[in-house]
Amino acid sequence: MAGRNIHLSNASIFSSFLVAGLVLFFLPKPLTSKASLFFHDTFGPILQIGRDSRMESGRLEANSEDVVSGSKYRQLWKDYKNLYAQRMALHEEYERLANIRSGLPQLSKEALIMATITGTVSNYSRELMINKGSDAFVRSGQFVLSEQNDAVIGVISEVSETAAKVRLITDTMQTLEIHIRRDGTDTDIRAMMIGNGTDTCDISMIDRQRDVREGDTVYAAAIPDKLNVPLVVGEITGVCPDDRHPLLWKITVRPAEDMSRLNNVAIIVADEKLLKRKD
Amino acid sequence: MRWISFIIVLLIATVLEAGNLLNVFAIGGWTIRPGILITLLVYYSFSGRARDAIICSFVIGFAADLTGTIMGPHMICFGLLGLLLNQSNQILFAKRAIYKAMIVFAVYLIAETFSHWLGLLKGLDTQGSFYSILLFTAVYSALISPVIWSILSAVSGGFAAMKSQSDRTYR
Repeated sequence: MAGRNIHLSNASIFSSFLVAGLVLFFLPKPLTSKASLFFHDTFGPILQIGRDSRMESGRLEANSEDVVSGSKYRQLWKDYKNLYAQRMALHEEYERLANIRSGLPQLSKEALIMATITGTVSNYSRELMINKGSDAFVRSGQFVLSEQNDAVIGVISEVSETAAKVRLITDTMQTLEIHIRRDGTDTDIRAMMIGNGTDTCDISMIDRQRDVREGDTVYAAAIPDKLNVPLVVGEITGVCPDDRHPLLWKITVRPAEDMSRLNNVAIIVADEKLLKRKD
Repeated sequence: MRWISFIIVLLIATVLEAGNLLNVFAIGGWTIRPGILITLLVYYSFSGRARDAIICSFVIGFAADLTGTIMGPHMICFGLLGLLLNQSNQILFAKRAIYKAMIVFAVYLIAETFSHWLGLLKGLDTQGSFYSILLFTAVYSALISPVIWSILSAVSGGFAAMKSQSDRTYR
């Protein structure tokens, strides 16, 4: 009977909810992000509706055999750049090992897991939600590739059992070790790339003595057990002196993949059992 | 307060906000999508009693956090703004569409700016063009808010009619 007569004042209700909000805010992010991942996991099939239609509407038909669509062109461009990087790597391997037969580490198909994008996180962050999680060997820090496995688009940032969050390379929280290379030359500059929160990324801390030009290709550096061959990330679209550090370049990179057109992604699982060497 | 209709409407709005369906209406190179939860916040803050407005505001804020990056900031900001809006509904007359749009515009700017600042405290970073995206999203949300407001009124009215009909049936 006493329970029925409990009457909370507006001030009590307000205070209770405010405290709940503050507790949620101050709890560690790995704990609270589970709620968000659970929501995306539960409503995944509904959240996914609409992504295909956007992709289809953006697709152009080629009118002639001599002309390819923009998306086809970008795919061919990435294939070419990746082959070039592999040739460079093979050449280096050949020089190092001389006549000894060896194999270049290659990504095997078993090492890749395909996932569907269920949604974007918000207008203000460069993150995607995908429908694969720790149950499918997805872990934080793994590289995420485009649908054709030909370009790095981001890194896994948070994981639940059946969903995960991908932080895109354009996010300001995302840094990536990269190589800058130019076709037909020995140019190979190692640097760090960071997203700038728009559709592009920035590379800084490169001395102006270094020869960097628009059109140079940017590759993600190989990292053992995560990415064992360099993969194309994007193309340099702007090189100018840094206003704050006049002795350094300020370099802008356009990602090879148009993130808004993605429907599926591939994740390189960092399980050693799933990575194998080519004979 | 019709809690069933509120929960259904909130669930639909949250799914729309988090999902890809609103991408169909996205505009510009920044793919600006309208905010729906903000209109819900303004509508329920004005429509209900203080007690209901407080609960609705915090719950809508929680839903906004579910669609975002971190938990907490929207719940706190929406709760505070919901209470303020409810207390000021004698001063703010949201009868005409233009007034509704202006209130949604202002509330969106305040709520998202403060949520963002709270996010910075939690270690988030400011994405490039954040304030430009914020401004355009506020304008877009304000423009469509009268339409959402009408839908909410119709839904609330529809549920009220259904409830009164069922009350008559079982009385």
